[in-house]
Amino acid sequence: MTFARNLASLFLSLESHKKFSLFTRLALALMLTIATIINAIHGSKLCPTIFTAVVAMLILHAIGGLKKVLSGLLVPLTVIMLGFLSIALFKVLGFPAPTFFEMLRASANLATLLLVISFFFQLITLRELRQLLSKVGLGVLGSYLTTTLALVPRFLQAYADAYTATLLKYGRRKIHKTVIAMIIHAIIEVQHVAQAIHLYGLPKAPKLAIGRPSIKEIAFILLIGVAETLLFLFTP
Amino acid sequence: MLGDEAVVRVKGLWLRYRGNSDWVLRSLNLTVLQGEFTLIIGASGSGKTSLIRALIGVAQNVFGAEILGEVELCSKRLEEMTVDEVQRCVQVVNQDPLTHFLDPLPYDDLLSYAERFYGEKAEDVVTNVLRLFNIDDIAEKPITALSGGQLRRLAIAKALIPNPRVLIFDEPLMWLDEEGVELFREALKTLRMLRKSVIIAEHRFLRVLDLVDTVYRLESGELKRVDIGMLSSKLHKIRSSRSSSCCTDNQENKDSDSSCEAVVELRNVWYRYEDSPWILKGVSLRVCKDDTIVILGNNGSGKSTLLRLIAGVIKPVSGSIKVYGDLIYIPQMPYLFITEDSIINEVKSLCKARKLGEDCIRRCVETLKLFGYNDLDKFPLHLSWGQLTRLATLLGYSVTRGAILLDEPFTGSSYPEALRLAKLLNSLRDVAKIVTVSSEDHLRFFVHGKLFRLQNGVLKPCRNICKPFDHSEEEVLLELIKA
Repeated sequence: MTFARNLASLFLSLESHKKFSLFTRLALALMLTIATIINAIHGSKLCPTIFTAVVAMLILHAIGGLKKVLSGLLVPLTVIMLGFLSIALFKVLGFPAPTFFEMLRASANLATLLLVISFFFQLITLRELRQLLSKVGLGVLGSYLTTTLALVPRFLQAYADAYTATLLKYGRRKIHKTVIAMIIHAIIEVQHVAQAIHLYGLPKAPKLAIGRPSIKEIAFILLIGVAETLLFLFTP
Repeated sequence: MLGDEAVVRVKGLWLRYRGNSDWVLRSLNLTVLQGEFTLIIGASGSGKTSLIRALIGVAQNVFGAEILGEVELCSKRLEEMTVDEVQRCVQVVNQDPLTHFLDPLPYDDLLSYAERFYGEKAEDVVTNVLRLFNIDDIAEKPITALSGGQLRRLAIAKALIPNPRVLIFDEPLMWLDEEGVELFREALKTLRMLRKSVIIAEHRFLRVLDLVDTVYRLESGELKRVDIGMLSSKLHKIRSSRSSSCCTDNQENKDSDSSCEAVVELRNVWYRYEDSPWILKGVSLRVCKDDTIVILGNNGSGKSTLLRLIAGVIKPVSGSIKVYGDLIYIPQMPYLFITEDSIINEVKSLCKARKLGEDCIRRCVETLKLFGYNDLDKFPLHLSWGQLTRLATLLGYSVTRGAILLDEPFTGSSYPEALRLAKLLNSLRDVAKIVTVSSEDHLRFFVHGKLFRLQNGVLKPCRNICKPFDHSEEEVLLELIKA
């Protein structure tokens, strides 16, 4: 169940990372996410995928969040690996299956997509996200979205407790009853949120400085952007 | 000095929840003057939380309760007030501190709230309220990494941000350790100096009795004034029989039972969350059949983590945990234990899963009825926090054959209710009980148990030097609560 806690931490940026300005963090997070999505839609090329994953991991390492993200992604990555192996088995047994290269590309792309999504949440705090959405006229949506995202870690942690309590209560055969405990938990959480909104109102968008990026930061963003584009356009 | 102005005025208040024909509050009247400190006591489920919900409009707007009568805050009728006016007049600290946070980082949450009132000065305000409770450090941690007591302190700090005229505390001492209780008492003294009005609904009322002006008992949906002079004289004996600390250093517990039949065994267990400091440092514990292990520790000391390790929710970083026999684990949030739509279905499912037959169901039902659970078709969610915690504990008590792990089982229970529950647990034979408590108040229930203090990650045995409640003390408490 440590997994649930690690997974929960993927949605939490514990601090506003002062090493980079908000502008730079936002540019990097958006660039890598968009690049991964475009790549997934148009052919899942392996080189840009690997490049994106490496860049995301290097930046996470620089801000000290790599270990946390990899721990959280351990289970999803294992599932992708199992999928890869089972399709490989299909191929060995002679059933229709994609080529080895296609499987590798698809698995790598999915794993990178998960990585960049968690990368986004590691770089941008919910407060910053609320502000950014408010700047583009989506203030109310930002409040709802961040309020909902804030519940994810709580929900996952409660799941770990409910799972164990149910397991010890009924044994493995009725572990599905955890779902009922979680439905009850969800009802209570909804009441909590409604109460909190009633008492304090929806969290408003803060006024944060976007920050002027330094020359080095701009060069860094450009370098990654250009490399990503070239790899996407000119590699197989 | 109390002012003349009534900041809270309730006249003929009736309240009942949707789908329930019984009125929880019945023509209730209450007046709180400027600067007055009011304490409300009563059995769990008597309607204290419902009253607080009605005072701020949550009962009507969130829970869809039917309300009759009048509520006036800061000389204005509640239904005519805007949300902003309500927030500036009255702030509530709820029983469950999680209800206060909409951001995963408490500091961000408090800052967002403060910005509504103070704009650019918000940071200074937040820093000040955090310093008031000595919680600057924990405000930067995610709420999922904080204990219940730490969250409560943060919730109290948040309530102080708009500088309201009235503060309402629903069980403010729930989950608080001794330091937290003292800080809360200090905060009350500060609020007194600031001439705030305070309403406290609290089960552990002995700890705040000397700081309030008026005491009411909520009974059968009505508030009845309790003579504070009479109350103080009756309770004098109870308060004076408690030592400054129940837990004194003792090495006797250690390794004293190596011959008994172990149910749970921890050997040199170390635990920490990713990159955080160690929470548990080489904890060793041997729990035998029939043992009652009471673990006392401050908020955030790692009590819940220790129970989660034993239950298997998390794995130790190093060391070993062995469990011989079956376990029941009641988390701090009691509703996470509940998996059925009625109390009777909980009983039936539990007994069936453990193949204990009709006798188990009969025994469970008898035990529950002894504790006032007469409507067994009731949806467990409709119970109060205290009732739900006791229900989960009683269910666990009735079916467990190995060990039962109870994380703060007395939250939401009045003294007599908690005492009764503890007596029942103490009477349980051939089953190991591992109970965590934050407050030394509850140590008087377990004078024959093995007491340990969890501090700085180390579990040390200690000797319980507090006397148990005697019969006359129990009588006084029972009479007060009318439980």
